[in-house]
Amino acid sequence: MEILKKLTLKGLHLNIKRTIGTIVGIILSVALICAVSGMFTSFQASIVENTIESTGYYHLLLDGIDSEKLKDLKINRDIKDIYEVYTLGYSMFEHVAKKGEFPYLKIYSSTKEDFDDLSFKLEEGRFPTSQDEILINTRVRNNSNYRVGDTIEIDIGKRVTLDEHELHDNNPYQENLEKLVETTPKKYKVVGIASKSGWDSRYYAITTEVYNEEIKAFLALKNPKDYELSLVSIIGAKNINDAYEKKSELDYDFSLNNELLRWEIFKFSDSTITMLYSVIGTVIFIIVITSVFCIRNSFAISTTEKMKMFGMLASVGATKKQIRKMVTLEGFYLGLIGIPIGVASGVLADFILVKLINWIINGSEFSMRLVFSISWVPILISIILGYVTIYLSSIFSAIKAGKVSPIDNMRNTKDVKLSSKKLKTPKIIKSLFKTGGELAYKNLKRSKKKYRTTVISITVSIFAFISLSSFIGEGIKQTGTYFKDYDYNISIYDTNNLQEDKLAEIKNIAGIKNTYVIYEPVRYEAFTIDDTSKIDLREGENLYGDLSISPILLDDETFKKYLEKLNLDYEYMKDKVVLADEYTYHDANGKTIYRRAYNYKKGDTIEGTLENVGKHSLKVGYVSDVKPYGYEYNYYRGGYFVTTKDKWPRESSIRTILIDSDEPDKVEKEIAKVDYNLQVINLDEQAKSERAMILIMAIFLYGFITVITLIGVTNIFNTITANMELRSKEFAMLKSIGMTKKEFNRMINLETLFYSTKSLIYGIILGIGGAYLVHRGFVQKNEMSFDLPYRSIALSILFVFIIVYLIMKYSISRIEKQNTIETIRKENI
Amino acid sequence: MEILKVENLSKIYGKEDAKVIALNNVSFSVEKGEFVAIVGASGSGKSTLLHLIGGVDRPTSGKVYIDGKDIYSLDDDKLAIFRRRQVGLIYQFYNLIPILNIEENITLPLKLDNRKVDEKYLQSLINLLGLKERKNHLPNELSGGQQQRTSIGRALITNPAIILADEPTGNLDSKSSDEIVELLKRSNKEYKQTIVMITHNMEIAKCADRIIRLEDGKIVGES
Repeated sequence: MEILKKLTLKGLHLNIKRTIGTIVGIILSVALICAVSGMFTSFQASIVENTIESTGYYHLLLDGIDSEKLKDLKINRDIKDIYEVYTLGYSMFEHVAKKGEFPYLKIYSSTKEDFDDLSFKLEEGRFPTSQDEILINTRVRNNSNYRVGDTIEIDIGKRVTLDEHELHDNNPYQENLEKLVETTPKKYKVVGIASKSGWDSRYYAITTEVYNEEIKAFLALKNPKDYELSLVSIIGAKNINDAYEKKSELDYDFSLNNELLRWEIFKFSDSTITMLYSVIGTVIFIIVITSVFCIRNSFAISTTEKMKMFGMLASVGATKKQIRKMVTLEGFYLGLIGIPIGVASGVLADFILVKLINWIINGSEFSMRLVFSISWVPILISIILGYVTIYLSSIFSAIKAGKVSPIDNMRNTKDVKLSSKKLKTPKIIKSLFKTGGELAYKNLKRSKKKYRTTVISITVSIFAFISLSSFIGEGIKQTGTYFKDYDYNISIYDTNNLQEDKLAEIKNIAGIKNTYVIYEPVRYEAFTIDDTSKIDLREGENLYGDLSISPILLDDETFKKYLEKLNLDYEYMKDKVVLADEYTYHDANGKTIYRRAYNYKKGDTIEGTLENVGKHSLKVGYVSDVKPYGYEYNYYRGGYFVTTKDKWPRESSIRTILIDSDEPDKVEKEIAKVDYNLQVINLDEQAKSERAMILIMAIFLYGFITVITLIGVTNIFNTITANMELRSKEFAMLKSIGMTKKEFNRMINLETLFYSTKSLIYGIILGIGGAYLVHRGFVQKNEMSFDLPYRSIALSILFVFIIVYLIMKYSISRIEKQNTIETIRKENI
Repeated sequence: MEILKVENLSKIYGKEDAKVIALNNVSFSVEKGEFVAIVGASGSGKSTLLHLIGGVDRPTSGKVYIDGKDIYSLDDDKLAIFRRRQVGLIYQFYNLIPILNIEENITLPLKLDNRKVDEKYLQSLINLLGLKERKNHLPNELSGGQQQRTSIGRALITNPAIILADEPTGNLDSKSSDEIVELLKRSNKEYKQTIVMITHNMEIAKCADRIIRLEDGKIVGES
């Protein structure tokens, strides 16, 4: 219908600022939808790439095929790539870490190119290039003296039972029931040390250019989605169930790389997929609803402005349908511009986000990198949802426009819907703000609906801002408290019977400020109190069994430092213990209660019985709720006492070593050199990672808030400017009657004040509520009081007043430019 | 032949105490080619009557037949279509579409109907209206008289069964008023166009063939 198109286009062109405002709203919401769903694609791609990094790119592993089968595979059209590893045999490995573990060194051969493809991570040296060279894995290096450059001589053979049955990897080692046969001596030069995820619990070494009939074939499929069909054809089964049934009959084994498949083709359990889609679905749903809400307002304003014209058209004979079409057509044209820009912006936003996140996590302990990826799915979704949003936004206005009765609109009487009774102004406003205030009040009451959306937009933005800010604040506080209180940044657990000489070596590492060594009794022996009246029982508690008080044994140096921390005199304390018997429990309401286990105080003597030893007594030198290094947050019902290992009558060994250092990363590496088997935890790195995680979360959340706020601000802009314009006749009339500029400005400023304050109050109250809920969510872990989010509140107030003031000022300046008489005469377009 | 028949037409606004009887059981008819003027004081129900005849509003009771058709038996959409083909409306405040030019405003009813414009007829109409130099201008670039003439053009372009004019000269100076009335008379005489015109100006009313007087929603006299 040519004329309708022409009218619509001209209408859009007429109020270009409103048109642009609406387009911006569309761009923002489409961009947000595109960015959120696109991020998902990037996440998926990243996880896939990282999985490939660790497992290599293969979907199916055939373990133990011969060269015949390999030839078949090479011409199979379902297979994209094959990586081969040949099993040469076993060799006895004398340097096993623990007695009874699998004592063989397995020897493989791999083709040169395949080393990388199979994700062997080279730690030192290089990959072998000939049959005389070999690569050992890190476990071998850790437990032996084999190093790069060494030459080793080993005998490689087959594992068999005593009655000559061949044994494989899945057969456990049984010392006297198996032997190595058909051994061939081999000499190799060690050229490199590497590791591969999932392989390093055993000992192995790899050479190259040797081929035999014991082949591990890693297969990368052309169509991972059809992995079941490919598997069936490769195995030669009838269907997938048949394939698994045939598994035991085959002379080779097969397995799927589920880790990769899971992410590459989304091979999840139904419940996981449902959950994933629900989360994304919910987020997108929220975005769409918010957008419809805001864009709808733009359409409502645009339609209201055109009501008179619609009335004219109706009187000339336009049908309801034709008028409705004009509104929806407007939406279509706006979408034509807004949606492509929105999609492009969303993709760009994802790209920037990925780069930003990679930059942040660079250097922290995350091994994973984010990869940017975009597929047509999120783009299609954004386009469709974009149009859905626009349609939903415009449909209400369209129906309203269609209902237009030619007469009402030409008379312009439908605007005021209140009876005169309701428009009485409260005395206080009249007296405080005089005429300006009275007019402002009446305007607000009259156009309640028009301002309602502005008020709601502001309220929602404030609520979101305050709640999410407190979420981020709490998160940061968490990391802060958790790590701030510690006196050390490296901890070594599972010391695995570390010897004293190694301990001395560690203590000497450069960059260490303090070392705290904690011991524990070699054997667990309970120390129970004789006088049970000293135990502080809670109401209704019965202690079944004995409550034993646990020893924390420190070495001399560490004990001294602990006493320093508590401001205690060493001379006085050296033959006494510090009683640290505070424990926690949850009361009926789930609240965490702290109390002491015993009634002992400074100067008392604890008389007790030590298992296997007999009577033992401890002199209490001090009672504290501060526990020493490594025990800071341990709460045990029986309580602890702190003393030195020498003062404890039973044998003890090193439990943990805690280190305070200036250069935790360097120290960590040096410790590994002293003993590879130590479990070293770099708390600094952990803290950094946690902070990075929170920073990333903050970016996402703040980014999200910003966009929603932008949509809200666009909405506010539209509402306010529209209101101003619709009332331009009224303003001109006021001016012509004699209202001065000053009074006029006062009226406008008062209006702004009224509804801004209203929305701020709602928003801040809701925001505090939201912040409190967030606090409750976190508070189970820590005992922190609820602080009012003063900063966010102040920022919100500032922000709202600035924005609204600017918009109003802009509108006023536009109105002032208009000539009074012309405006009165002008038919409102 | 009877081109318009109004039968027991009533329009009541509001309820109970706030009830306003704008039209009270009005009946009359108009022959094809007649030029009828409806006069009355402010609030007598003239505009209401005209709107009901034009199918722009719905009556509380009664019927209106245009060219034999009971227009209120049609649903809203069909009524709109009927209106754009058979009824030409001219208002006191010209009510042109501000974003369309003069020519586009005149052809609007045809365009809404998806009908082809008879260029020859259009140009002769524009000439008759004296708007040849202004046909590509926008309404706000024209004087009051010229805008009203455009309105008349819009009413005439579809050759409707009946033209309804609500105080067509109310917003114009005397010279323009005369021009307008001249135009209406010409279209009535030359094109046999049936016209029903509301006016409160007896001078103008006298140009019509018949005058119907309305008071408090009832016909009180004819001449």
